[in-house]
Amino acid sequence: MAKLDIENISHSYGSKEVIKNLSLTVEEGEVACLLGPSGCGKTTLLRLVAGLTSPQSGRIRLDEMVISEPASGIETPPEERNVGFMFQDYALFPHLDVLHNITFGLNNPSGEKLAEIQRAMIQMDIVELTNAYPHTLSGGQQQRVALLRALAPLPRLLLLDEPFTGLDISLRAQVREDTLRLIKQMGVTTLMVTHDPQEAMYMADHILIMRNGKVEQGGSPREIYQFPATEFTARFVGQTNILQGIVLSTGYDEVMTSIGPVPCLSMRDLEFGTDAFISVRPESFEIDPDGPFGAKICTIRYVGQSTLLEVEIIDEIGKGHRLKMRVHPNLRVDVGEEIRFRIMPDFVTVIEDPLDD
Amino acid sequence: MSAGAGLNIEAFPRRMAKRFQLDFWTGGTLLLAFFIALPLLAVTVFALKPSGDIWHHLLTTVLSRYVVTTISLMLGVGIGTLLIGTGTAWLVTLCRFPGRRIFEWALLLPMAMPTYVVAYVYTDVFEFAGPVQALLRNTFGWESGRDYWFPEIRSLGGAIFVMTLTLYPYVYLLARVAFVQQSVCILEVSRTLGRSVWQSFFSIALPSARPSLIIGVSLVLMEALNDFGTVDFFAVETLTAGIFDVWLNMNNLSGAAQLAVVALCFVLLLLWAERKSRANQRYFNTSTKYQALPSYRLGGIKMLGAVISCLLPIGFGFILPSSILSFYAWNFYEESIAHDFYSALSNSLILSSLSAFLSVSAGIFLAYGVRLKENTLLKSTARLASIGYAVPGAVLAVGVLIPIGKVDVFIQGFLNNVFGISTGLLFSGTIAALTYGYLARFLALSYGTMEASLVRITTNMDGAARTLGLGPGRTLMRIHLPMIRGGILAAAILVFVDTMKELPMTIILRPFNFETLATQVHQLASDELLEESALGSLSIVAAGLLPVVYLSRTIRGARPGAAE
Repeated sequence: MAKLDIENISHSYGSKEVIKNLSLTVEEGEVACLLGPSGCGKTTLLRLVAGLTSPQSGRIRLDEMVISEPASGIETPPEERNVGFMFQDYALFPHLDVLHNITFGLNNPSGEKLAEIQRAMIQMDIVELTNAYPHTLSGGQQQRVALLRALAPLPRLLLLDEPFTGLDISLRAQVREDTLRLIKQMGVTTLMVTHDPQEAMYMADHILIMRNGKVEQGGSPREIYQFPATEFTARFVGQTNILQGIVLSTGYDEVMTSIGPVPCLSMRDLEFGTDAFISVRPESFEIDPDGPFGAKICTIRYVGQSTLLEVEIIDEIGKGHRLKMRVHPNLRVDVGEEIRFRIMPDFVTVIEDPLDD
Repeated sequence: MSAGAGLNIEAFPRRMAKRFQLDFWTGGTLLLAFFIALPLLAVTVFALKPSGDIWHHLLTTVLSRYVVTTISLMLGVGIGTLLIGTGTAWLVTLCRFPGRRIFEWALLLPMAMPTYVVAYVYTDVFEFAGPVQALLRNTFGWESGRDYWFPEIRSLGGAIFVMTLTLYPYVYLLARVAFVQQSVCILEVSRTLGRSVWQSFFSIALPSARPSLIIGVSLVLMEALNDFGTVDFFAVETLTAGIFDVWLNMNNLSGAAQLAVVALCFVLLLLWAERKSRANQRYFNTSTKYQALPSYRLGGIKMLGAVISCLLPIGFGFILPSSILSFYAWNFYEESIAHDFYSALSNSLILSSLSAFLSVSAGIFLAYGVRLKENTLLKSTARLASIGYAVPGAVLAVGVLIPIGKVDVFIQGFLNNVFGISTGLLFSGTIAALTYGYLARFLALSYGTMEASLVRITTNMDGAARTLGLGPGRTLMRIHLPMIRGGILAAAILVFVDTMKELPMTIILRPFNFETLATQVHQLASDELLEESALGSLSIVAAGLLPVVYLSRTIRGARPGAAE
């Protein structure tokens, strides 16, 4: 188990800069997740940490030991880093059976070690596949073999590249749970990448939103969802409403917007009277006949665990604003109906000016 | 200030080292590639060195004749193979007629025949004393050659005839793969727009197969340029024949090198055409929808025409010559054995195995070295090393002689000066020199196959093995080699068979009194002892059948989504 420090790493393919002066830290035993759209450099970053690709500048330290620093000519080859890597396509060796795939990284494993591996195979429900070859396995089975193969040499750090993308939705939840349990049981420091926010929130202690080769924001799943710093983060991890206004302070934090004063939990130290943009999650709305806001229902989408409404609210100068809100699925309303509601501050936060992007 | 400058100077070479790590694999790949490309470089440098007035001499005497003959030969063989190869490929791919399934693979058979062997056989058949002219004289009561006209087989026309017969399978193979991979949709669109089957062939199928056809013809012409046995036997004065003449008869190495450079110009032209067409090839597969190819059932006279069109090249290119060879081999078995058949056979087998082993090992090393570093310098060096397949054997042989001669002279001088011993020439005229030549010529076969096999393994496999603690060398041994063993076998067979057939380089580079099957067959045929040479020829043909079997098996699977 080790702590991973990435400091000011940059990497380009030809003239295309994929990683731009990026820094991040994964604490010992923590599961960190890089979350971002495809092509933002996530997989490249994993390859840099594993030593499969060399950075052009910056420094990577594992357990305070420098494993990559181009400026001083240090580049520990991948085979000496003791880092486990699970690839998106699993990359199981087709000419070896399951057991030999899993024990590939071990030199003359002892009987004790083999027994340990067998226990893990039982736990992951693949013990009856010991002598099967990869092409005969289902996607879920391949994923588990790949995971055990990466974990068998007891790596100091585990890297997971889109570990669940290749699986059917129906399988995903179970495999995710099994994987997380095994990782936590072993206490291995883990850095995974995914483009699926649900997956990131489910798995990670710490999420790093990545965009265009940079970390846009880092924090716990709750921090990322409740207090997105930018419009990009806000929209990437869920739905939101972006409103523009001016900071007010009337006892508690409020932003004056065109639809009226909106209570806001995180003001990001903005001063009274400054311009501000706020992100209002659809969960922030509470239906209340005495609420200060009134709007007309435009669309209703019933999705089981909740109902998504799109409503139009008319401001003082007669301009319409569309808002997305999530309400209890029991609420029975019709399109065109007028409703009144309040806005709760918990899922409202000030974000950076989207125009600065 | 000075401290700062000192730091920078120190950091600079380190950064350079980072950009281009000269480790075992990079250094090894560069060194190996240079070693293999050396003969080619040597012959070029040597020829361009000012050396008296040989250029002028060549120009005023033989050069124009060599060039004109070479161009005529290439033109004739090019047109002949294009017609036969494309025509038969179209027939067996899109028409249905009796025997089609057999013709599909049988049309490849002439590939197993070395051109010079066919030349010897047909000389025997068609010359004045041969059975054909004897039959004509008997039938019509002619007395002597003045009573009738019969085409002379030992001529430029004869050379074009036998080369077309043995080389058309290259065009057939590539044309067939192109037709098989063609989207049926575009042919059907053409039919619905009112074109007939034949109009569709000329306006759609043929133009889309053009890059493949150019590649096929380029390969044929490289072989035609390489040929020595036939042109020597028929006394056709091509550039290759000229190189032999200038080197072996006039003992003039620089003259030979200069002719070789002229031959290289042809090679560069062919290589350019081939590379360009390979780049174009992918643009012609536009549709991803494939379905069973329609088969136009042929009847009556058309059917007969199709059967005969396919039978003729197989008959003349394989069945007839191999029957005659078998007949002679059977009837002159004792005499053939008496001509040191077994020593030539074992020499051939040993050399071919050695050549296959070295080429495949070097091919694996280069392909893996390039894969490891993804470096353009490495890539282009490896490509330079694999140009050999396009270069006539005679040219490469001259290229091998030059550096080896220099090394010999250096070692001899050194030992003579320091120890006072005279060693003679250490490498010239040895198996080592010959094997070096084979490596320079056949590396492309193994390198190409290894590269194609490695590309099919995702680099994540490398990553998985590396992160699990294996270095690059052990990753190659434990992951790549087991996964590409099929490709390794294929490459070894190709190189083995081509070494067995190889004639021009073997003649120039072999040790004194050292015979392989190819040189022995050539020698016996030149001495008008075709009967005794038949057993050797047949052995070469038998080995040549191996890659034909392999090719005909892979071509079936060439069609994406092929349903058998």
